[in-house]
Amino acid sequence: MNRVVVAKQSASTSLGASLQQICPRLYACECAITEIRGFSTAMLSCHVAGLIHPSPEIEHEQDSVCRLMLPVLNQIGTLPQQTYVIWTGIKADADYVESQFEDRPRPLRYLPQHYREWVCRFFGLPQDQGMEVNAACASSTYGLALAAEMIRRDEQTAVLVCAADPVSRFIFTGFAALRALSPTTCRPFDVKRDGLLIGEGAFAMFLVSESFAELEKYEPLAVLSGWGMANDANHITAPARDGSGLIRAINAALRSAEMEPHEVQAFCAHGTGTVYNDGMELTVVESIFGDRRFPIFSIKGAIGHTMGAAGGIEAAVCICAMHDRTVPATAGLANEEKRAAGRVSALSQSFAGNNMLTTNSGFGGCNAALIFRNP
Amino acid sequence: MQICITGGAWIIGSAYSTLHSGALQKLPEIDTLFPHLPARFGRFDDFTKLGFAAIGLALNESGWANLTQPEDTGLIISTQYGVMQTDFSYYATTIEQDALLSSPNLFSYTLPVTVIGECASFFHLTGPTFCIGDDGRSGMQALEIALLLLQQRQTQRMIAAWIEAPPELGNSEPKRAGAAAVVLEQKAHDTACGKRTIQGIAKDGIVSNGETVTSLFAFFPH
Repeated sequence: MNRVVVAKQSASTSLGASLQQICPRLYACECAITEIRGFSTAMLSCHVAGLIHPSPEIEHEQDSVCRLMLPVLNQIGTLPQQTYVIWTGIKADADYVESQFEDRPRPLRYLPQHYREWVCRFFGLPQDQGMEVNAACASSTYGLALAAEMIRRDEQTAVLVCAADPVSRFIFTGFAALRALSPTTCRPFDVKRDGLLIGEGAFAMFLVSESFAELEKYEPLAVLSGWGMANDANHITAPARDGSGLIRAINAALRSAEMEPHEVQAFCAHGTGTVYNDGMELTVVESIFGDRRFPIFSIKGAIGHTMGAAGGIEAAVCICAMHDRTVPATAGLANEEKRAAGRVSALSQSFAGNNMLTTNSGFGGCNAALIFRNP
Repeated sequence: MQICITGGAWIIGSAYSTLHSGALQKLPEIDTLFPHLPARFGRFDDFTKLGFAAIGLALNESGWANLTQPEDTGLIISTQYGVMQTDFSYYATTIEQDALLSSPNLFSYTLPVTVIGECASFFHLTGPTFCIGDDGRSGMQALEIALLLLQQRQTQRMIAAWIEAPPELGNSEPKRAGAAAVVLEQKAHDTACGKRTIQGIAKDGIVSNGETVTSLFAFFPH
């Protein structure tokens, strides 16, 4: 079966418009959460998010999703004609829905399919070549797993997985209604964590078979060696306290990578900063990895929860971190929970390993895990 | 190993049928189709109700609806419009008082994966679960990916479903509401497979019982 390699990647978050900008700021434990000015939050308990300020050359783009995607797609460059595109943004219609209640033109695009087709047109690819995946906040992780599955099975040779989710009034008020937003700041794995913050972000990751990479002379950035997907079967919005779904997803990823748990040398957690999510993840860590202390981090304290794009951005950060031999700091962390001690740090940590695990968990009980290996 | 379709259901308009019963029947109130219902059933939006009904009927027919323990079963739902109608309903609650009274319940149903969460927790499904955009082939892509995951041994059993509860957008796009679901299982070659087996994926559809099937609807009487 084919090995799956990452040939190109790019991302944009509130920390910067490229991974070259984002990663050093993550290592330095910087936080890019700012006040929301696009809509009123006066009656809500949270007023901040991880916001991207577009560069002057793309300010004219009216579509908020495309505005986030453009810098990311520009960095990818050209793609071969057979590239299959998987779109994993989760709220394509938010702007359209909002426009129905306001005195402004309705956007042209409102279905995930419209954005996937737009990406195809951007690269000059056939528009019927691809699919859209929604697994809530684990969408990109699922998209990358499915891309890898297709490549491993020789159904595709080249797959671009990409997403962008803006901070919209729709999303922000919804998380506020669920009382999921922190009234203070996002503190993953901290004893005083009290909720998440949302952020906008975009990413694109181009996966190919190893043989195609050799043929096209792509320099592999990483090997996507294992992946797993599973459901909690517990609740529509809350994670299973025992982490049973995430445990199954990680174990499936380990089997897929033909690895043992001790071979995972760092873990990019979902780490939303909510009491239940982070507690569940620490339970999972103890269940799979026992007492072993190894670096665990979350980037959501720095950029917020980037929703459908989160898994892709975090996967891209893992690959940079492996190259830079540095595990990012967990911004927002002041006093780690006892079970996080010796694992999570507000300082970046050196990384001497070759394998990094990243996971995401979303509404609907969706969990997914990916394992990246240095090429 | 062979891949069998062990149960299925189809709801369209005011009628429904199942794979084995064949005949179209008048669709009663969905809450009368099942002896037990999820605690949140009364809060379900139309998309979730339709999907829950089709998936529940399909699981019932395959014998997997009354489990009490987690089962390695995945679920892929294909939909074009997803929960867009619910999105409008939710956003309407945010308009007054600067969103102070936004409905958390409606927001919970503004993702198409919410029906997955409802079905997974009620029917104890713990395999890979996600939604995909329907490509105009009414669930065929979901069926193809379900087969891929079964062949890769990612799970023992998969449900492939199609659900639409489209909003009125005031344009001329043809839209239809409905849902269909089939349960796929890997079985040994010497095991009875029921009415349908799947031989493989062809260029223009799925080969089942020797014929090429191009839509989930093809499994059901018209």
